[in-house]
Amino acid sequence: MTDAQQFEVFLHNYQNMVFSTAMRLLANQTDAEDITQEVFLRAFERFDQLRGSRTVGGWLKTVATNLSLNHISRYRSRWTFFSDIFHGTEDNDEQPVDFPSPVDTDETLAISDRRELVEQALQSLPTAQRVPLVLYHLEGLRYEEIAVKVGVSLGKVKTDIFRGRETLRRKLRLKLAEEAS
Amino acid sequence: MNPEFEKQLSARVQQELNTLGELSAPFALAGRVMRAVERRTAVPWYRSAWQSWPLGLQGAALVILLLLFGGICLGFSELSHVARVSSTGQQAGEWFAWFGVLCKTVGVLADALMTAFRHLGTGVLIGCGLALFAAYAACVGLGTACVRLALPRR
Repeated sequence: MTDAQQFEVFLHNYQNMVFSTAMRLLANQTDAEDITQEVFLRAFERFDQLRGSRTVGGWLKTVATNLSLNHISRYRSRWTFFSDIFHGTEDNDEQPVDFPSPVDTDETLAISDRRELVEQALQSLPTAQRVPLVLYHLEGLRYEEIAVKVGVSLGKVKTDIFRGRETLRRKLRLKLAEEAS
Repeated sequence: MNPEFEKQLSARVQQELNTLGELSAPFALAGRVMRAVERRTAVPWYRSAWQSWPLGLQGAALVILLLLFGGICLGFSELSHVARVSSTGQQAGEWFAWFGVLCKTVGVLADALMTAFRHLGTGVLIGCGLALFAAYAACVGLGTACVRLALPRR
């Protein structure tokens, strides 16, 4: 098997993981595809070291996360600066998602449909809420690590994650034990 | 924020997000990446980044650059030494005469500016500073308004 063929197999094995990471952080398919391509181009440059490595998955995830965060900060920082002047926060970005009734979501929807709803709800969150939420719940980072990666204060990270969870709860009509009792 | 509520909410959201699997990458993505890889490998070594050059060439390039740098340093040192004692130095001095003229002009302008400042008084200077700041603020304001109009929020 040639190097190119081996790399193609490698690409097929990991492309979903890399694409998912980028897609959940960016919530934009075109950008996620660009980031995925860049991640694999970097992987190709180090393919000799990566192909035998056990931590290749972690390496790919870290690169995908860092490139996605760079992309967000590069293309949004100036805009966020101006939007903060006029709006203060991004909370007004919230787009209503057309969800079925609570009875449907809790009882009768198939698992795949439910996943799709959760995915849709996650991707409809404003960037300021989605990014720290994804980093915390899906990438397993701690609050302090997220603050460093995103370049905001620890307090803001906690607030944004709380708001993100609240928005998800509202959108998905999640019931907590406290409410059920 | 109620800590108990927060804890429950975090656990519930985690439970919900744990059900998510990997998203399927678009079908065409693999082909696109492979084409990009082929394009990158087709680029000759001298047009790619230094880090990706063959190791021997990296070393050779480093040695050549160091020699070049050393040569330039030595050349300048020799030139300044020769300039002091020979007619070649006079010629070199003429070549760089324009630099002296430039320095002199800048010096005269700076003197004129200092004299003007001394005669204008503090009030006028503060006024000029404020006018400059107001002009800058107006530019930022106009720029902000233009961006707001040109890029409506999604």
